[in-house]
Amino acid sequence: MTFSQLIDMNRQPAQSTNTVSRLTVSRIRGMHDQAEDSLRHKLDLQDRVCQLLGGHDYRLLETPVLEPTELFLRKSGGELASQLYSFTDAGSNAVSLRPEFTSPIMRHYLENAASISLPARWQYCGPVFRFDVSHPEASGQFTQVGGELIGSSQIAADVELLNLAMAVPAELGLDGWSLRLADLDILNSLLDSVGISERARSFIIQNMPLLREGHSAVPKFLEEGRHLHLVGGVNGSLDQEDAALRQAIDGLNDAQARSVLLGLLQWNSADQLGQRTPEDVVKRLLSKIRGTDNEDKLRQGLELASDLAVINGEPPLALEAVKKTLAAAGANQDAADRLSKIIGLMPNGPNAKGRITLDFGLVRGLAYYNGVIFEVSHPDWPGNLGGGGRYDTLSRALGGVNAVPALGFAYNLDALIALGAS
Amino acid sequence: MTEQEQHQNNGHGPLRVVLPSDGELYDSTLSFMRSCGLTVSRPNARRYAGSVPSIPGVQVLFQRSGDVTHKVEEGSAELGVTGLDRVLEYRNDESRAAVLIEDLRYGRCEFVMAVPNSWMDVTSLSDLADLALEFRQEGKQLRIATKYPRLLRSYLYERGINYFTLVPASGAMEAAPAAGYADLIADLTATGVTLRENQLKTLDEGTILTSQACLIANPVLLAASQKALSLARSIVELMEGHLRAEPYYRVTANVRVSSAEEVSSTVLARPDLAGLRGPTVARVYNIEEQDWFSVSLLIKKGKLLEAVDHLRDCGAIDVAASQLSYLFNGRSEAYNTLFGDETATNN
Repeated sequence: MTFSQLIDMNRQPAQSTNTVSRLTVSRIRGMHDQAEDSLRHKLDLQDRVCQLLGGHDYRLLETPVLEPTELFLRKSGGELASQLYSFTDAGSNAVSLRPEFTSPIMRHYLENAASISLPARWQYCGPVFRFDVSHPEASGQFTQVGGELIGSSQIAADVELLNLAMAVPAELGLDGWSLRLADLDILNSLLDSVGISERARSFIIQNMPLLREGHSAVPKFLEEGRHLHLVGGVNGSLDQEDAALRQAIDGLNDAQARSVLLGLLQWNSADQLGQRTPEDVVKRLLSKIRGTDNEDKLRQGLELASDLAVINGEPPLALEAVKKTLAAAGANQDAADRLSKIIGLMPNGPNAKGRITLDFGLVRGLAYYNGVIFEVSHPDWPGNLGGGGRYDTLSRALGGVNAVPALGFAYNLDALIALGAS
Repeated sequence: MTEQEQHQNNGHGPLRVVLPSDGELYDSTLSFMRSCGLTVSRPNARRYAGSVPSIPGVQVLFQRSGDVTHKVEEGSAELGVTGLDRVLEYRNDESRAAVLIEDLRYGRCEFVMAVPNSWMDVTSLSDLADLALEFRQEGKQLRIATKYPRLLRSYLYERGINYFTLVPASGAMEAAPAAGYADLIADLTATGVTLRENQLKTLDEGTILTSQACLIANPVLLAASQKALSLARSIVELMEGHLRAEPYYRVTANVRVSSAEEVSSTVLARPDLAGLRGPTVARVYNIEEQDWFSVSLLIKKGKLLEAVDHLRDCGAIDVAASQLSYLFNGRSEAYNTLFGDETATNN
C-alpha cells in the first residue's frame, strides 16, 4: 500500500491531521445517510408493498432492533454468529442488532401463542444489520421487507407465499429477475433411503452447492468426511495416537472397549474434564475410532445427493428428473409429488412465466429450513434480492413445546430500489 | 530544540516512539534497539519517557505492550514497537496504524489452543468443531479462556466453529480448565512448557498465529511532519540495515596469485560461497612486490567454516571474519511498501 492510498483511506486532508482532536468522525462502513428525495421514494415503495401484503391479510408487526444474541444463534445453528453486530450491554447481557426478522417474529408468536389464533400472517419492514467482511458490498445496514405465515402445513400456504414473493418485484415494476426453487424434503427422502447419521446428513446438506459438480466432486468430500471422523472403521484415517488406541481395543465389543478406555483415561488423569464426564470422553473416543457411518454409506449418500444437486432447469423437466432419481434410489416419492402440486397451482401468467427454475443445489445455508426453499436474483445484482422457505422446526429450536409449521420470505428493499424499482 | 520549535511541535519532540514497558518485550526491545545503534537512554526506571541520544529529536515513551497499538493509532506517537499478536488483536478495522517491519526477529511466540490432556478424543481442530456441535445438542457451550477474543473468534468462525463462549482472562489462564471456569484455553506460548506442566495439550491446526516483535507507524502523522518523516526514516533504515546484516559475516583474506581475474574465477567456482554478488578483489601493495590480492566477501553465518576452507583451497591466508553491523539495500523496503518512491528524495 502506498502512502497516498493510506491517506485516501483515512479520508483526511494531510494538513489537518496533525493531532487527533482535529480528525472528523465519519460514517461506519456499510451505513448510509438518506436524504429526503430518496427517502420519500423508499417510503413510497415500502407503502406499496405494505398495501399488497395487507390485501392478503398480512398484519404489520414491528419487533425490537435489539434482541438477545441467543435468538439468532439458535436459529442458524451458530452459522450467523460471525455476521452479527453483537455486543455485551452495560447489564452484561449478550445482545445483537437483528440480522433478519424471521426469528424475532417467531419469538413474538411463541411469547403470545395463547392469544393468537392460527394461521397468523405478519408483514414487516425495517432495518437489519449484518457484518460480513468477505462481502463488504453486502455488509452493514439495509432495509428488509417480508411476510411470515405461521401455522399452516397445507400446500395452499406454500402456494400463497410463493405467489406473494413473486408479486413483490412485479408490483414494483421490476423486470429481469428470476426465482430458483428447491425442496429440502426431497433431499431428505433421498438420504433416508441410505440410512446415515444426522451428522453425515448435515455434512451433505451443507455441501449441496458444491455437489452440483456431480460425482466427480464426491471423492473430495469423502476425504473431508474422513477427516471429520464421519466415517471410521478400517477406512477411516486416524492419527498415530488413535491408531494405537484402536489396536488396544481390537477384537473387543463396544462395552468391553468402553471399560478399557475408561480405565486408561482414569489412569491418565481424569481430574480435569471441564463440563465433560469420563463417559462422554470415552463415548466420543470410541465412535471416533470405530466410526459412526461406514464409508460406503457416506459415499452412497454423497453420490445420490450429487445426482440431485445437478438437477437444474424448467420445472416440468426438472421434476421428471427428480422423480427418476428418487425411484432409482428406492426413495419415498411423497415430497416430489407435493412439490409437483405446488408448482401446478402457481399461476403461469406474464409475471411468472419462465421466471421459475428448479435448482436442487440450493440450500440457503441456514440450519432450520425444511420443505420448499427459494431465492430471487437479478443479473445486475451480485447477491440475492430475497428469498425464503418453510421452517417448521424453528419454533422448537427457539424453545417452543410443539413444532409449528411456518413459512416466510424477505426482500432487500434497498437492492430492489438500486435495480430501478419504481 | 528552541522554544519556538518546541511550540511548533505541540510540546513534544518531532518523533515519538512507543516501546513496551512490561514483560519479556521490555528487555528484548531495548537490546534490539542497542544492536541497531539506537541505544535508548532512560533517566530512571520510574520515568516513562526516554530518548535516543544517537538521533536527537526522537522521544521514547514506555507503555504496556498491549497499549502500544492504541497509542500509535490514536496519534500519541508516530512509531511503536510491540508484538504482532497485540497489533492484530487490538488494532481498529480502519486502523491508522500500519505495520512497517513485520518481523524484528525477537519476541517469538505462538498463539495456540490447548485442551486438557484427559480429553483423549480431541487431537485436532476438527475434533473441537465436532465437540462444539455435541455440546450444543446437549444445551451446553464450549467455554474458551483467552486474552485475545478477536483473533480467536475470527479464527474459529473461519473454520465453521460458531458455538462457543469466550471467557475473558488475562493471566495464568493455564489454570482455567483445572479451576473449572473454562473447558479449554487459547494462549501465547514460546516453548509449550507451561502448557505441559498444567496438563494441557495443543491441537493439530490449533495454532492461530505465529507472532514476534514488529514496528508499526501512524502514516497520517508522519506525512504531516517533514521532520518526523525524516527521523522515522533514519530509524527504519538502521533497523532494516541491522536485520539484513544479521545473517552474515564479512570475510576477508589475502591470496597470492598472478591476477585479480584468477582470484575471482577460483572463488566463483563455488557461487554459494562467493558472497552476495561475487567477491571484491583488490591488489595488496607490499614491500616484496609480490602478487597479493585481498578478497572480501559476505558469507551466511552457517557457511562460515565451509567458506574458510574454500578460500584456503584458493590459496588464501590471513582469513578474517567479522560481524557485520548493517547491510543497506539500494532503497529502504519498509519505506517503499508504505510510502512509495515519493519520499526517496525528501532527505
